[in-house]
Amino acid sequence: MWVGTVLRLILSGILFWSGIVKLVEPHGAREAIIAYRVFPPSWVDLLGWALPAGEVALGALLLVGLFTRLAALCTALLMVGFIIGISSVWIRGYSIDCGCFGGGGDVGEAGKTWRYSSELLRDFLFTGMAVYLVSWPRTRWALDSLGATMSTSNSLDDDDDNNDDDTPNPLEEPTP
Amino acid sequence: MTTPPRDSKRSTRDKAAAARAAADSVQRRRDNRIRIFGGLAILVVVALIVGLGVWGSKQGDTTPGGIVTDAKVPTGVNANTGDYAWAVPAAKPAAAGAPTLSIWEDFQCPSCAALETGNGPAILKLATDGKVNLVWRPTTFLDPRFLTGANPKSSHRATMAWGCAIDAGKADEYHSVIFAHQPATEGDGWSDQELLDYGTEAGITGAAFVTFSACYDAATYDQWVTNSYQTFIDQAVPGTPAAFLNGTEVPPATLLDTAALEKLIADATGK
Repeated sequence: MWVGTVLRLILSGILFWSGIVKLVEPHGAREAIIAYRVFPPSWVDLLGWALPAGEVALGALLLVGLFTRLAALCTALLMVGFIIGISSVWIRGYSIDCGCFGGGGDVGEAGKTWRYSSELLRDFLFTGMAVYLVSWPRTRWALDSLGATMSTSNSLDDDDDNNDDDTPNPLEEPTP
Repeated sequence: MTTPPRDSKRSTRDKAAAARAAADSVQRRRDNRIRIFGGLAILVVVALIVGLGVWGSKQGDTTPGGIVTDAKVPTGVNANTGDYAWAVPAAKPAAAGAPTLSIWEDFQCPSCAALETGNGPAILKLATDGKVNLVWRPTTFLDPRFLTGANPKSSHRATMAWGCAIDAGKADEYHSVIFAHQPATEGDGWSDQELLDYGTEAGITGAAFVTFSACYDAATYDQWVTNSYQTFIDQAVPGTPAAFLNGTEVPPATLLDTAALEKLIADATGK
């Protein structure tokens, strides 16, 4: 549960950061999306807003732990999309800045292999974290489990109220 | 203090199960309420953040002011003429049927300098041999990334200076000289004095240099540079260098490979 909590908060921070940087610098985000040469130019303006908005929304859901499994699934798909995008520009021989955390467009040839491979490695790591949360979405400090926590404590209270005497609940009696 | 009789055990269990079911339904309702209100709260928060981001980006807007169609252009440079508006023809018009190779470059872009110092002379030779119509298309999209450096707006100023060098008949020379002097660190740029000195290095001397210098000081081609950058944005050009042969993007490996580029141009000739 705690491992999941840590992963959830790390992913949330990453998504928030990347989303907000893109929102604040929309031209860079737009340039980066164009530089991937994946989407037709007519999509680019919409994506320039939708991508960071989606990142912020996923970051917010993961931060409070609401719809954790769905949010983690979307995050994993997003990361896989980034992996495909980066691989495809690398294979086609372009030298671009991924625009992952702002910036965008083309950059120099120098260190291209290192840059692309480290970006891919990082995105694989994030994908792994998201997949962990898809598999085990129940974490501490999550709104998803808040209802359960409240019910558990309430039902315990109810039990206490019903048993005014000190008789132990027969169901909880250890069987010999 | 009575222990429940054995025969009532079953009913106790039923009661417990019923209680648990009731608790479950309470919990489900509570879960749903948390999801609905939590989801709505997150929607509001995300909308606020996105709204703030939009507002914030509008404050520091770095987009050019848009195209002024009757802007003054350097000698021989295209005006507002369709597909290759504001572009700089590199050599005399090529033979009939020759394709057009347009290359978008930002003077501060390291890959552009790599292209120019590598395959640049060969590309220019293809143009002077009349095999291709070569047009350079300047953009200044890197300037917004280096607003706080020692030489802000270096791409814009270098392109303005290039415009003045084109008037002096030194388009190719000045173009090469700037790329040859690209600083090791992207964004360090050039001072006004350096850009003027490059004029001398490109062979602009005497009276021509006085004209060149006055042209630069007066920011004569300010709007031409802005127009070309705005065109770069409007055409959603995927960064620099980006080369297009008759409108189709040339793969980077081909652009850097003289033989491959010659073959691509030959194949496109007469079509």
